[in-house]
Amino acid sequence: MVRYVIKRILLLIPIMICVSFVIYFIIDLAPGDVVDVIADISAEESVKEQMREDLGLNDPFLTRYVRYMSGLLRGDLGVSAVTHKDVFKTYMEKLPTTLVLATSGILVALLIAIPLGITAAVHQNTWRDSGSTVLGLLGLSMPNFWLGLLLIIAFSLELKWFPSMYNGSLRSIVLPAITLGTGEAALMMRTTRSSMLETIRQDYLRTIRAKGVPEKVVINKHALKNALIPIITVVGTQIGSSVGGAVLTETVFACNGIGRLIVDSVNYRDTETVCGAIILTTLLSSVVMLVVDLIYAFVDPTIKARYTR
Amino acid sequence: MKKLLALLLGVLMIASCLVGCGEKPADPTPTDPAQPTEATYQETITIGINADMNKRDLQNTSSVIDRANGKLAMDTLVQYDSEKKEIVADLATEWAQLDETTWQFKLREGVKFHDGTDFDAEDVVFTFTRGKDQANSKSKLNTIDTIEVVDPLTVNLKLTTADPDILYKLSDMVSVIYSKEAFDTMSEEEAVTIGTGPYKYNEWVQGSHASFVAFDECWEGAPKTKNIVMKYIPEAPARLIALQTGEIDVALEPPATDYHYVEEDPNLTLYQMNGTNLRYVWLNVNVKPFDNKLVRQAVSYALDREEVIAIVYNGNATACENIMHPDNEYFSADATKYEYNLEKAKELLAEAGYPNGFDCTIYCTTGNTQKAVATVVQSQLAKIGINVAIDAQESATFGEGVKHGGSYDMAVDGWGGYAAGVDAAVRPVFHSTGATNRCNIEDAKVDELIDAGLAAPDFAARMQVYAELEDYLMEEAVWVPFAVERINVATKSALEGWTLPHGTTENYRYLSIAE
Repeated sequence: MVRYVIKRILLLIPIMICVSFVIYFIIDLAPGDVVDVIADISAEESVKEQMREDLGLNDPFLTRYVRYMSGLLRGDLGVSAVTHKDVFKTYMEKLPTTLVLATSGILVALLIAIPLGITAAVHQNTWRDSGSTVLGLLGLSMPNFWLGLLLIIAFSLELKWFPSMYNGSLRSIVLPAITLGTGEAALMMRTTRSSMLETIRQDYLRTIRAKGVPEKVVINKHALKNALIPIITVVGTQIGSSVGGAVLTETVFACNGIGRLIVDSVNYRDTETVCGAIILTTLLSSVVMLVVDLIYAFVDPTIKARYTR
Repeated sequence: MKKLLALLLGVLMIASCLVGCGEKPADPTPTDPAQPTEATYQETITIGINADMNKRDLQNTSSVIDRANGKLAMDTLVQYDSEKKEIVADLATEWAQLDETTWQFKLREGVKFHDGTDFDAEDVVFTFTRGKDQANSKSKLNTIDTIEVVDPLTVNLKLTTADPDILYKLSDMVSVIYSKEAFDTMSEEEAVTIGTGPYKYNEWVQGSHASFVAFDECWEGAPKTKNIVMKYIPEAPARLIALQTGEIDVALEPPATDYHYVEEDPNLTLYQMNGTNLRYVWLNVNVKPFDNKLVRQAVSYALDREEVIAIVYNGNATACENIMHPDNEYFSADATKYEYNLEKAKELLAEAGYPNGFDCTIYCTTGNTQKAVATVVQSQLAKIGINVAIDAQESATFGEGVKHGGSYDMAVDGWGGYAAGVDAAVRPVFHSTGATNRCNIEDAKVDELIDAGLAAPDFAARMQVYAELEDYLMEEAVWVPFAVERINVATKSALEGWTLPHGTTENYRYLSIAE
């Protein structure tokens, strides 16, 4: 298993190089640069040119990219041209908020998706199956920002149960988590349903049922555990995408997270911050996926045996 | 299943602990509990802001929010009083123009910086010497040649040329006075936060909030409110709801369609005032058919300002028919005007050789207002046969495309250069050497009038020059100005001390809520 982990970690190196090159290249292709955005509107062209010179923006693309990569190899993600702050420090300031949001969103999604998915599978082709599917798709179809605002109006403005914006407290994470989790639940629900459908038809469950084991135990203990692998895969992917992709939820609830950092930096053409944030997010997502792969081993002994081989 | 839930809960708990380290709730406790508390005023006022903060160094930022933050902590030599519409004292108590290029400033006595050091002439010399070389202050301070210390509380500013706008420039936030000693003893990042204003920087978490604590030794006296928090809430509806729930005390720019909620609620008040931003459409004189003055005039006649204001701003903007801001002291009411007249527009188009109109593209940024203006302009120009395609670009791309010499046909733009003086209002956008001359006008008469305005000896002579300039530019119809945007702020009704912005800068230093 150690060899497998080392192999996966080494694979991250080419991934990081590709990601950094693609991002750096795409931002370079876009018209305009950071100076166009940060300079005073009445600043003379000579002043802007001096700013570009100071920031090294007049150098050819490859020179800038090699300079960036040599910094990256030393562990230096650079400094934002907009805020003059260290990119790594900025990222780490926002990461905890994003992790709380991502994990609490996943938790809400699991709480919705697993019971609905099991119900849909166990009662296949009944009104319960259709009802669960409709509920799941409703969550997926509702735009995050719209749902978020509705929740704020209902639970902050009218009922006054929760704060309308995220402030670090546990109460303030409830509404953002529901907003994010509702959207994520649909995919998980469908995955749970199809995985359960496949599992509950297997011979070993028929044998267990024949032994007189109650249906509840058959489903929750014997079937669900074997159906978990695809669900875990989806959870891992969703955590990865939530880290950089929860921008609408972060915006509605004023969460100071990674998604907003990336979008704001793209608007500012802040290449260092965009690249740094995406590289770190890719790294984080890869680690999450590695952890997910390792969790398989604990859930399914046959996979553990494969790693050991 | 249980294992999975336990794992997720564990991660959530660890992350919650990390949050406690990474970001504190936006409600700071006073730094010194021994300080007596003003029992009669709410201790913390939270302002929901609509844009993020970038930097604290005011000589290196053009962000409106950075400037508003700076206004809490820093002072300038003089300031612009928007109610009196004149320059008034700040850290300088008196000033006089000794000759065409020399200004003398008498400095206020007994002023202390936040680090406890005294303010004197050396700080003024340091500030402007540094400012002449910084990215965002350079162009505003470029007429300052040397700064001489006459005595510890008197400085002479020698200018390279006569500059009637110099007092406006010195009232701008790029001219806040920094502490020389702070720059000698601290890192630059810390030194730029040391000012003489009534509030000291406390926390500054980009993307989240900035908080300020009262500076009781301020020369203006200790402020009534102990803490001011500027909380970034990007969504306009969320800002308004946070005000309604009482989580914040002030919401900048609530959604225009929701003003009635504020007006119907006795606990809330809506303040509306003219901002400095003049919204207009410019026409590129280098591009056919807009190189033809008759076509430009036809477009000017075909745009219905009242309709733009009703649709785009829900009626919350001031109609404007001049290239000069109506609140500027050099605004001329006699400049050429274009009353909405479709027949006249069609006649002019036919006379120009385009009786059936033509196709063109209007450019704008992806901002909601700009896109809405472009859409209304598109429908209005269709009435005279001009088929307009809309091309919305994000600001960096737009900024690249609209540079002087660019090939855009026309664009929705905004100009807020009026607070830095009359020359700064017109030179960048109309002079042939202007950095923001996006309509590409290169006209000897315009250049001559702008230069004459700078050299005119007094207000009356200058007014005559600028009135002629405004009339000429409106006659040339390179801009179609239509609205001055308003600053809209919703507050708790109990809030006191709201003042008009100082130039382009919001002033929150006198806010208080009596308990």
